[in-house]
Amino acid sequence: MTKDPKVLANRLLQRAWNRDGLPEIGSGLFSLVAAGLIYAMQILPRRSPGQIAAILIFAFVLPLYGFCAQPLVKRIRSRWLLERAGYVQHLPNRNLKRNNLRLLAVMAVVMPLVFLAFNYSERLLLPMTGALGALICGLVGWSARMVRLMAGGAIMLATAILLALSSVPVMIGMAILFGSQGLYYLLTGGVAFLRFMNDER
Amino acid sequence: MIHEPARLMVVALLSAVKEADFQYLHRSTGLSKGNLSVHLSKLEEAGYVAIKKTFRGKYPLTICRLTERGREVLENYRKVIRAAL
Repeated sequence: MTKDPKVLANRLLQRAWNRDGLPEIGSGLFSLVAAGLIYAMQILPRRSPGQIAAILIFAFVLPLYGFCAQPLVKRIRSRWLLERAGYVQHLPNRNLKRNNLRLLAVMAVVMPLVFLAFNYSERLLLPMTGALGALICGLVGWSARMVRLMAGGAIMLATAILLALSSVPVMIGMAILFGSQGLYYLLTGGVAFLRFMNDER
Repeated sequence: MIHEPARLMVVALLSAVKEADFQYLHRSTGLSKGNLSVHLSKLEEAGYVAIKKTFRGKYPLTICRLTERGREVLENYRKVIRAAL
């Protein structure tokens, strides 16, 4: 066990946050909705009301998940899972906002450079998305020492590379990528939730 | 006092939140309820943890919070560990 209290605290907090599987279920649903919207954008006739609606929802409604996910999970826990999960009042997470900004800054610089370097090859979108997803899953999984989260990241990267090397159209590949991740996290989150509810502790 | 692994876990976790109840600490640390209760009592006696019993609706809550003294002791411990590593 690490002796550094800060490292220990972060690890315990991350494990506690992911223990009941609710964040994974949320991520799984988000990914499935994203996959559905991407697929809809591809197969619906251009400029049809359905396609426009899919684009608008993808661009403006889906990103709200990033702001709503944490408060929603906290609300569900305090309303329905208080006796099992216990009560906690978290400190404001200044590090999260700083790290998110750093990640955005890195993406804003790296992505255009990579695209430039490979002459705007759109097939790069798949492995880059897979790599970014794998990085996020890997970091979260590593900080909480949760293998299933890290495994999800590895699966995402492998799927993205396979899709990039295949002849599947890029956006259909993106839909498959998000869909497969969504199913994986719904499954692991669901199993974690059932185990949490059946835990007699 | 806080170098003991179980108490270090409790104090470290409380340092990272505003407050948490007994059930949250019990599930997060993996300590048994009896074990956790003993450690919390010792930490409370030492003045590192403040414990308040209240209710949310009909559900009883035993809310624990790290005191300023507790934070000082933890920070001193952390400095010692970092210097040693």
